[in-house]
Amino acid sequence: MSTRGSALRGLWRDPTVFAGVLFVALVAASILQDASIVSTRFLTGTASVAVPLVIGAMAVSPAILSGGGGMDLSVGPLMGFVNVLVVTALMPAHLGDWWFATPLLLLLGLAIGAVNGWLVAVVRLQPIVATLGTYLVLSGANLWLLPTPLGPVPAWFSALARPWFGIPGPLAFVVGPALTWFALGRTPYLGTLLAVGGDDRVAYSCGIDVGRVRIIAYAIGGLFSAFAGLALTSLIQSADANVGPPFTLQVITAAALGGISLAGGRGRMWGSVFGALTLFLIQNLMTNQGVSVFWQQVVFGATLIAALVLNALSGMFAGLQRGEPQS
Amino acid sequence: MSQVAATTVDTEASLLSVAGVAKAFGETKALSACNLTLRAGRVHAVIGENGSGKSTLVKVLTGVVQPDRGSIILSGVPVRLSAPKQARQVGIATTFQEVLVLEQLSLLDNLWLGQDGLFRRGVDAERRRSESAAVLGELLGDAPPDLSTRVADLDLGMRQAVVIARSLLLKPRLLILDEATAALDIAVRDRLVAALRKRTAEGLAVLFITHKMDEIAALSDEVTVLRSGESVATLPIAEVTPARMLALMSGRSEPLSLSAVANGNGRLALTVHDVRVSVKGTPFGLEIRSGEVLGLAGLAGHGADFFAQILGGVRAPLDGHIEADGQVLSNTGAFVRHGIAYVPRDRKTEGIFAPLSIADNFSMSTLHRYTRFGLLDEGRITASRQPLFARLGVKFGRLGDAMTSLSGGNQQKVILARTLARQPKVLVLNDPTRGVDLATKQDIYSLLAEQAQANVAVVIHSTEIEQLLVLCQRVAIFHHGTLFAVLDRQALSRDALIAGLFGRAA
Repeated sequence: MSTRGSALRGLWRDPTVFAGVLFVALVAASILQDASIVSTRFLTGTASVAVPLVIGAMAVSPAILSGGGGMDLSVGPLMGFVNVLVVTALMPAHLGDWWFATPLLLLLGLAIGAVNGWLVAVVRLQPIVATLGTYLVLSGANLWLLPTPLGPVPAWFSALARPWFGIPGPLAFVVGPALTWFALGRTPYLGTLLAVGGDDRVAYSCGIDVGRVRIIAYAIGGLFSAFAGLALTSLIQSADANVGPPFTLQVITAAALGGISLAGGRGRMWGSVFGALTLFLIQNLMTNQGVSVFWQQVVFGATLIAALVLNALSGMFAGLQRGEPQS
Repeated sequence: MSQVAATTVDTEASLLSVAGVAKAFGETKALSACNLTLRAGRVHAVIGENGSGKSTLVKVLTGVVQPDRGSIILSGVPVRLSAPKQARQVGIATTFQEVLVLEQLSLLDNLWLGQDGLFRRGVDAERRRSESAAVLGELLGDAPPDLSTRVADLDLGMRQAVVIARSLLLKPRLLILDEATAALDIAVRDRLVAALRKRTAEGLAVLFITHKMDEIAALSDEVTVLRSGESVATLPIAEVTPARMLALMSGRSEPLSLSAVANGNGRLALTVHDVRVSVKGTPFGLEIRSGEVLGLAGLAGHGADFFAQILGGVRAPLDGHIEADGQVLSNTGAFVRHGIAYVPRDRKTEGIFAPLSIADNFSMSTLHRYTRFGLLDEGRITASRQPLFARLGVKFGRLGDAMTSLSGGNQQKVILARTLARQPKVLVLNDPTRGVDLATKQDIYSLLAEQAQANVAVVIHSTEIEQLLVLCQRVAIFHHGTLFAVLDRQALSRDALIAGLFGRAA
């Protein structure tokens, strides 16, 4: 078989590529529908809405990649918690300046993520149950702190919702998570995380500290959730206890759509980003077409299932090519 | 990590001593009094039956489990190994029986797994490549696979070479090989022996765990025998004979004997009609009769394994069908209804319910037989289980213990007991003595002979020629996905079998 043929098959087998292709197709469809969307002003508005979802999808990914049933349900409520704290805790204490609020909230996210990781890796709770616990605790805390929506938020949040020198401001929130993940990719950590997610017994027997790798993965997820919470605050320009939690299911959908294997150990951050953008574009296209919100949910679900079925089929196809019998 | 400096190696000084180590899992005493001294520059073999504590000894020395009593003394200093990481740090590298690779990673990444810190690289990329190439060349000869190959694309033998190379790359003071050579082909095994000889000359100590007498003879300087968790003897290689080893391992002294296999009533049990086992193979037919022991032989990938699975009803043939009692068996359920029982090859993934207890693992496939008014009757389960467990000599702590608390050989016995509880008419076994010691093998042989005498049709796929010669009345040999020949008792000989495996007429 030619090298070119196997390279193409490699692409077909790689679910990240599927997410990328779907994204490009949807961008093309969006532009065909209305060419005026390619303007800084419009893109800035679009980015405001898309960025919290994108960072949220990045936040849920390390936990899933870490394997062992890895999952982080607390992403949505943690985004909401950051949003609520800005208005209920920081602003009354006159601590809402960006240079103070940002590091504080990011550290808090990191710490809550580390608690998730500790529950999973040390207490050895099932990740889905452990993070369901933090989901409920944070959702409850949000409503207790802020029973009704409240505004405004510090001015720097609105400043970041505008274009800066022709670049959509909300993209600033993505820089942190993107650089963090890129930097991790330059260290052995990322490879180690995929090893742990692929088979933790192999990793353990090779002397890898599986527990610590997992705690760090959940902590990174918490950190990214805090970034997503800041982006969310910039988008809604207010605080609302009910706006965070629904993100959880959306970001998991995005990650799965982007080819992050829910079994762990397989997938790339790019996939999650494209998965989130794809979800966002589908939503956007349908809203413009006047499709009801209820039908949008149906289409999300169907897209996700179709993506997973396609992945499974391509895996089976690759197996057949290698001559493995199918049962 | 390596402390090789001296030109002459002091082989008298103890590198690592295991003193009075004991470990229990629940009620099962895996190790009760294990003593062992490993010296630099020496290869020390450990043999023992299944359940004698070999695997537990390896786990203790690797930091996977901590001993209840006793101590591990490294270069005169007691050490506590709380995780594999610590064992690696003090210079102990282990290659486990199970081939522990990450399929989705490259060959290179698999070789260096665990050598980095979390955020800091251990060895630079340049040296990684050159050292990997050197070690792989040493083990695999002139044509090692490319370092960027995904391990998913390597065959089992190659993967086993990879995990051994991974241990060698650690440049350990002590190398533990826990039955780590089973899947290697002969050329690689020879090169491994040479590689180990070279390193022991430089001071490496090797702990070598195996079932194979020829490997012990080829490699080791001393042998320790484990029995029921105790180290019963340590002998220099010059004093080792197979008979003596067998006697020490089991407390018995008789060697493997040919079981008297009776001819049963000869009624037709299964008919194979125009079955194909590979895309390129030719269809064939075969009749399998009650009371016979039919062997299936073939080199890996030549169709014997697949045919065993077809006869067991867990895979469908590419063409053709299997008939019993004049009916075509079209799905797994039909095979079960016609009394065909299958013992799978891979215990861990196909044979046991790992999270369940020993008792549940036994009763699982026959639960419907033990009911009274639709409710489970424990008394009936016990009545069915006790004679079978006694007959097979299953060693266990409590019935409620997890299946995984048993040694591999005892797990296999529970699986056999479960299968026999179904009172099958046809018993299909896929390599049932893989990784099983001589005494358990003997137990299984006599059990199969007994079944044949009771007019069960026994079909056994085996990778061991000795086994086929001892047990079978007929052997069907597969070559390139086709039934190549069926040897009956008169034609059955070692030479004829080997010739057949390579597609030649004897």
